Amino acid sequence: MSNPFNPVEPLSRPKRPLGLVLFEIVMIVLAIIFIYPTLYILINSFKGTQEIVIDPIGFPPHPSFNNFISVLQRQGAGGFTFGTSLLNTFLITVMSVSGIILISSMGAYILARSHSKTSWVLFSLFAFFTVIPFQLIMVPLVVLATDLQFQSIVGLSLMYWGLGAPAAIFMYHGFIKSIPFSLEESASMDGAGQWRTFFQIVFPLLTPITATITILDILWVWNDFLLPYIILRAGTLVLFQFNFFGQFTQDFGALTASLVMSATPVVILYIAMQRYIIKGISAGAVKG
Amino acid sequence: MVINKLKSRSNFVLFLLPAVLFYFFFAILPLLQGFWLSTTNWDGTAPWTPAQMPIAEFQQKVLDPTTDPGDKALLLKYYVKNPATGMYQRHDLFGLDRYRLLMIFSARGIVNPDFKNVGLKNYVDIFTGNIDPKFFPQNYRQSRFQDGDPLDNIKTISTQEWNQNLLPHVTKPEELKFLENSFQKTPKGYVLNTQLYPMSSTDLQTALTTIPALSNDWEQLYENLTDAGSQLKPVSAVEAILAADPVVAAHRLSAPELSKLKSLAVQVFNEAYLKSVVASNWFVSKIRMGVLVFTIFLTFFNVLFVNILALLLAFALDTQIKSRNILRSMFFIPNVLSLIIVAFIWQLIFTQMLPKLTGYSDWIMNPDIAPWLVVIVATWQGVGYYTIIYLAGLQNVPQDLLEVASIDGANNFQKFMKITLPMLLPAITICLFLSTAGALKTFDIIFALYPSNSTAVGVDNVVVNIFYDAFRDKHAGAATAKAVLLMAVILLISAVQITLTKRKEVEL
Repeated sequence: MSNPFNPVEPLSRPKRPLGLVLFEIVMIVLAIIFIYPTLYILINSFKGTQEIVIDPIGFPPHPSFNNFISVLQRQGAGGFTFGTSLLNTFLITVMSVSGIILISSMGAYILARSHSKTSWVLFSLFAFFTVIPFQLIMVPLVVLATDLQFQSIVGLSLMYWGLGAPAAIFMYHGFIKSIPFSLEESASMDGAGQWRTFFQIVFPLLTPITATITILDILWVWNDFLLPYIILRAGTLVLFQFNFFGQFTQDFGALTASLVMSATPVVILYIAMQRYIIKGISAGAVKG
Repeated sequence: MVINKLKSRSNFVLFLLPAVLFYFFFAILPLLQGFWLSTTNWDGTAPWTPAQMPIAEFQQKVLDPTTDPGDKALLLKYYVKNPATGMYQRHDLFGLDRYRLLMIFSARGIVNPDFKNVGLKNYVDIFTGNIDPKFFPQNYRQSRFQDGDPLDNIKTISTQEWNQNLLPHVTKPEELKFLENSFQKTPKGYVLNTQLYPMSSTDLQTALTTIPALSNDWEQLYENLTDAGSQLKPVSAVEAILAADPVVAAHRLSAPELSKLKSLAVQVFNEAYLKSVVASNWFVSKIRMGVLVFTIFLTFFNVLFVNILALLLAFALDTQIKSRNILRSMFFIPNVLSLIIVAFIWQLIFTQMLPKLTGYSDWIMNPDIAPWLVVIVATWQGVGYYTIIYLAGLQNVPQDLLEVASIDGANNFQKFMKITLPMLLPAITICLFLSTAGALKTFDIIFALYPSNSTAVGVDNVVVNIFYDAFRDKHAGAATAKAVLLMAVILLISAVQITLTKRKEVEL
């Protein structure tokens, strides 16, 4: 039998359907083994702590939602509960991502449409961001947050505007270049100013890339740890999760349940928006 | 026309302003400040200007030479005379005023020892190795037995351990003799001589409490004897030590009590002595990778595993199997979870599931295994992302070309080497560089998998080390200098990537 990994010889050939079926079964088994750690957590979240200690691998003998209820009732570091952390994270994500989309689309539009030296320099400056390790700006950001009194969810969101803009501008820039100029020209002939042209003509045309950037940035802000950790210390979902593990080290039932609860929103988002995520990654990578 | 141009120029500014402004404030400005801080000795919390100064000195050196009324007002706003302490004391301050005060003070030539320019000292220190020795590979001893461990742990020592890791380290003849007396060679290994050590530590302590005259002071006596024993004093000294012991002196012990105490004391003493000898000699010499080598280790194996697995997965999913989309989603799931959640999931796997499954419990804290565990978690998390890039790359392989090649009689291997692989090369380049940069910056996984003990286990990479240096060990300046060098490395990698990509574009 030839190499099943070889894409050159399509396995769909009607000659060998059995090989394909076997191969598919192998792949499904591999995938289940691959995601087993997440299943392990999911299964254990329905067991009591004692049941987990006695038998961490089997199915729950008396499945219950007690762990989830207890996580909801507990107060983590800084007095934040799961609910308030979820709300905070939601607010931070909405404020951050909408801001990034707005300022980046506007900036990228101008940069893509003007061919002056200034715009080239500015674009290079944005591109330069990719080589700055976060550890270099980490201490100054803490200083800055103190100086500006930015240790709040609004302050944090504004910081994300600046840190998220470069990548978004990069992606918008590439996309806008592919839009024909004629539309804007005719709009301008009809007397529309640059603002109106952008918001009524260009921005709607950007929807595909806006969707991609939105979803990638949501995942980034929602899951980010280090920046909120050094600025806020507590209050976002990831920080709640982190502090929860430091606080209730032995309460395995609550720990697994908290993991399931923190992961659920992202997993739902992922299942709903998969297409955009995969498109965004493929598109972003092809451009390099 | 002129108006139009003006208008478009003002629009140019207005459209760009928000993005540029925020980018400048939260990326470029911190970057520049990072460069600046990397040349200071700042610890990250010390005030930039003195928190207090003697009244006379403050007036002479700071206040009087300051002529600008604005500056003077600022100084007096934050520095308040406190006659009780004889000092000018500073209020909390933040924002621009902090920088203005710093400028006034440096203009007066006052150097704050906690926040001063040290030039390139931080960099020189890094290059000359004048930093935390944990940064570099080092020998260390992995003890097989600690002083505080129960005696039961050394009831039997296997012959191999005895010959390899214990006996060669014993140098003093009296210790050697003592050890050989304490253990008996059996086929199972070296077994503790039960005649010399009939009781466990708890039994010994209980026995001590049965000497009523000692009452509650037996604990102090036990401690004294243990101390003396573990200081490697010869066993024959027991009597002298007992005679000199303040606890024994303070209580009147009857003759039978005294003899009982003596026999117990010899046991306590022997036990402490034995524990001390075994603890200081039974160890394995090992080499700890250190931050630098571990970073290279983690980056290398993470990049290697992630790319090989992702390529294989991409080939497997690029076939006609029905469930390919679902499978792709499954392999991608770890990538959408927060790295903190990923790390905690694996922490529970390593501490609960693996011990139950294998019967061996020392996984996550074992310095020999821990580096590989970090690689496993990082690979598990990252593989889905690169699979998608490789899948996108495989879409670029022209099917008609492959068919033509088949017709011309090329076999699968030839087609793979001559068509598929060259067409995949751009994707491979991108993935290699993305994964290298990503692996180099692995932070969350280590930080959450080893909250506060990654240094002890030896799984600090450069970014974790920088974090702890800046916020835990209070070397903000030196830590930032390391980060500047990290940026240089990333710049170098990016430069190589850009040249490679450019060259390939020319070839195509």
